[in-house]
Amino acid sequence: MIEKKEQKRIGITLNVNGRDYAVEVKPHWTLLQVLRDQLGLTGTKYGCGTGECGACTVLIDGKPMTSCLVLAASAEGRKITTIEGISNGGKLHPLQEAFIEEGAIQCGYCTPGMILTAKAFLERNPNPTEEEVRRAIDGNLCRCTGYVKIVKAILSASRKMKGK
Amino acid sequence: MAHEHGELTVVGKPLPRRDALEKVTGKAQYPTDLELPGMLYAKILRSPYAHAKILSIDTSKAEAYPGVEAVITFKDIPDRRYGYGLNDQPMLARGKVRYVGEPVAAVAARDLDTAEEALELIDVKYEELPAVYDVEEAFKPDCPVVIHEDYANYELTFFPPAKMDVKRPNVANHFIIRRGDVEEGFKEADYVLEGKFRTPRQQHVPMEPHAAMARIENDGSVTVWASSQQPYLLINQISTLLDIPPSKIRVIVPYLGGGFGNKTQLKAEGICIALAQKTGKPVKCVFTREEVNCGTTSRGGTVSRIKMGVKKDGKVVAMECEILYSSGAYSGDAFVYSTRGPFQAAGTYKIPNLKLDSYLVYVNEPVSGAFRGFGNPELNWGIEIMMNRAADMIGMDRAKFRKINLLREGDEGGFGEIMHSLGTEECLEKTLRELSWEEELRKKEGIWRKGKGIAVGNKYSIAPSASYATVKVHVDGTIEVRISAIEIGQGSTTILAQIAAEYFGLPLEKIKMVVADTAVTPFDFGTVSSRVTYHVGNAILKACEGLKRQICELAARKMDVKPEDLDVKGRKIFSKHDPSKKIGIEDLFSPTLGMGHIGKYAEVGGELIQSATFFSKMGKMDPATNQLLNKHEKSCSFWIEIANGAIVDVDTETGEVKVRKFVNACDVGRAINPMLVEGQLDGGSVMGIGLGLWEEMIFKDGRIMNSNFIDYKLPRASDLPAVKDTVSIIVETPHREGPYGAKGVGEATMICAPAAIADAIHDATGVWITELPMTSEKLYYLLHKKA
Repeated sequence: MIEKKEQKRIGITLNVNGRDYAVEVKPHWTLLQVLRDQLGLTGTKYGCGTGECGACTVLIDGKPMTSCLVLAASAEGRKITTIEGISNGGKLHPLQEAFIEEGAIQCGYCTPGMILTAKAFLERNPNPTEEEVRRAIDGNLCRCTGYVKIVKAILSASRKMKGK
Repeated sequence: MAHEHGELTVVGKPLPRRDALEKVTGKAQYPTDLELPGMLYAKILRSPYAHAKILSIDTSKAEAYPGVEAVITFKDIPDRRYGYGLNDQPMLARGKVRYVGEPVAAVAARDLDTAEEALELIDVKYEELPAVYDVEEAFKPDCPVVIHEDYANYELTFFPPAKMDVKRPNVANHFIIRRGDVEEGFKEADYVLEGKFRTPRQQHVPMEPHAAMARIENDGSVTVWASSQQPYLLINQISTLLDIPPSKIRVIVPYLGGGFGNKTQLKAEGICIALAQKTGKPVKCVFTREEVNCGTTSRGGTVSRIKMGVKKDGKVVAMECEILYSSGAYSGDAFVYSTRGPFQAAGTYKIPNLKLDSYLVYVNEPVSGAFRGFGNPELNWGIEIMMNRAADMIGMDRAKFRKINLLREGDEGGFGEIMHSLGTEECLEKTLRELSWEEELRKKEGIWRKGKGIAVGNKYSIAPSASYATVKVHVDGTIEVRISAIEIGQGSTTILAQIAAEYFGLPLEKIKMVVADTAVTPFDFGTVSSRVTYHVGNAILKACEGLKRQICELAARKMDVKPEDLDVKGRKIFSKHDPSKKIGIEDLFSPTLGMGHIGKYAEVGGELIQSATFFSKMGKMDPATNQLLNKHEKSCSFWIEIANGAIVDVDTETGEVKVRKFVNACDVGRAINPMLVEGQLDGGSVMGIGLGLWEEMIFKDGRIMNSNFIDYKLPRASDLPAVKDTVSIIVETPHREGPYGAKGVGEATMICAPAAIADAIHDATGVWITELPMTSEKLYYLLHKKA
């Protein structure tokens, strides 16, 4: 038998979408892995594993972060928001509505990360120009839409949110 | 199929996607998201060498590693090869590896960490062999490196059969077009131009990496969840490779996170099945991004030479093309690619004398495969630059020059077929209008220069090709449609539901879609070649016609009339002579007497269900010329025509290019859902800009140097023109055989973007770039060499 050095798991509590989850994780596990594999929150997607595509974007204390580069253990004590946590009691977030209405979704794989990035951005800048929207989503790759309808959807959501 | 149709209520409407809510809330399930109880995790050991003999593989340490449940190598599977037209690729390397990234062994373990650790315990001894990477080197008759010594023994499954050039040991296929006499044509020409062009290896970069999960059922049959655009091709390949009868293979395809041709052939599915067979447990494998880049397929690079003869009056009288398609180490989809890329030369211009030679050439790089456009953007790149150069040479406006040469209704295309339903001229006119073509651009001086450019092109859709559809009536009046078209993001599930809804006059919600589970969904050629709307749409319409007959027959018994006197519209079956005589679709079903709680049933005929085939035939061609023997038959299912336009700013000091406006006009026959068609056009424009300006996989000694999204430059939102300057134009020239006149769209959207940008750069600077991508570096050297 070949010897195997089992890494010890550590117990942590993650606050995701307003709920506390006690999980046992290996020290090198990323937040992405734990959200998907331990908590079953598969709306957060793996795209590259190196923080360059944005598919795994979640909000940590309101800031968009690529969860493939965040160690799960380091996220303890912080407020994590995933795509599953942004519609309020079944009511869609204005960004979700705008993505549907504008046709900003194709394969949908980049959509969760795109919406979370846009959400944090609109909270910071409720009245953006098109150029500002484009810069805000530069870290999120989309291979289907050419970003055209995504940019339109984010601008449309900003108008909706102001109207409230 | 011709259809009489009055006012349309569902087709032609920009309805939101049916899957939008799932996708926007993160609930949509993709292959990467799936899991099964007791599932094992697979990892693949890949070759570190571009070309090497395998001397030995020792898996004993990996097998003994705690948590490992199985290790497989070529010894565990039958000695078989797969491909698409040419079966040259083993599932796990046998005797030799031919590219960096080729699967050599695979491990299944209880968790991913263990599987990864176990890979390092597999000891493979290699003897490195000389390799060849450059397609022109590999093409030479005296190339000392021979990648497939056994080529002559490989199985061919495509027609026309491959032509081996015995003098060129790395040539896997040779395809020709011979029309008229080019030598005579060049003699007749006032000018003869020649050019040499290159295109790079481009990765599809579907945002979702490939994943597969397999389970062996108690009866020994196999269920596999796959990232596949072609589930029935997959059944065939799994059957061949692992010796499992097709009836014992079930393929399920959930939503795919993009495809673009990258998810056509077998990827991780066979390995998961073999590991599941060995362990008796479900096995899942998810590729890393690097595995997607090197272990799947990409658009192979090309080198082409084009010679064009033109007359002063603007007529192109002869064209000679030679194109070398890099196959990578195996033929992948590139075997067919090298026979279908050349269609680009046949479907846009009326060229009386045409000679084309397309070669597929093996090199020691990852496998080339289908990629949006299937070999056509590569050839369009050279042809359209030559068209612009020719126009300049005779001093004619580039748009006018094209109009003189465009194929029109009733003309003979490059395969001798009578062409019809061509909207090229309308695409071009609308593009010119968007560019204000007649107006001079102001900025012709200073460091930043502006330029305008155009290009036109076509995309054939493959024939022969078939789709089935099955439709059935539920007791609540819902119509169920079963198809194996894959929802890869293009919106096929929505569009095809619209077609069925339109046929029966139902709202979209009354159509239930059952998609891509081969246990219940019928045969389909695949979600490739922009063929789904046309083929699956037509199969649905045929099945609906049959279902309507069944409905009328059953209703006639109940209503005491003749079936032919009845029609179905909305949820009603009514007499054509007296529309007040009607019953609801639900009334076709009777309560089960005395057993009402069981539900309702049809008194005769069993299930109200109908299946239909739609088949596109390809006409017979003369093998010596590839000209159709009957001009009224077809070389392909249909032709989509396109025009693109670009306005660019060029920094003449640094060579930086900014696309300021991009116009993509495409004749789709009819847009079943204009919002989704626009989405295809927008996305194709940007993918085309990416190929034009930035995207290139760079290899050194067969190893990829830029397997990440910092070094492999993809278009990002701020690199692109503003929303108002990304203009997607839908042109509708109804196709006489298309469902409600529809053709297709997906691939056509990125055929001629690079050439349009090159034309604009030339307009701004006077410099022609002939190698893609048109990076600042290349342009810098050309600008400064010129000065």
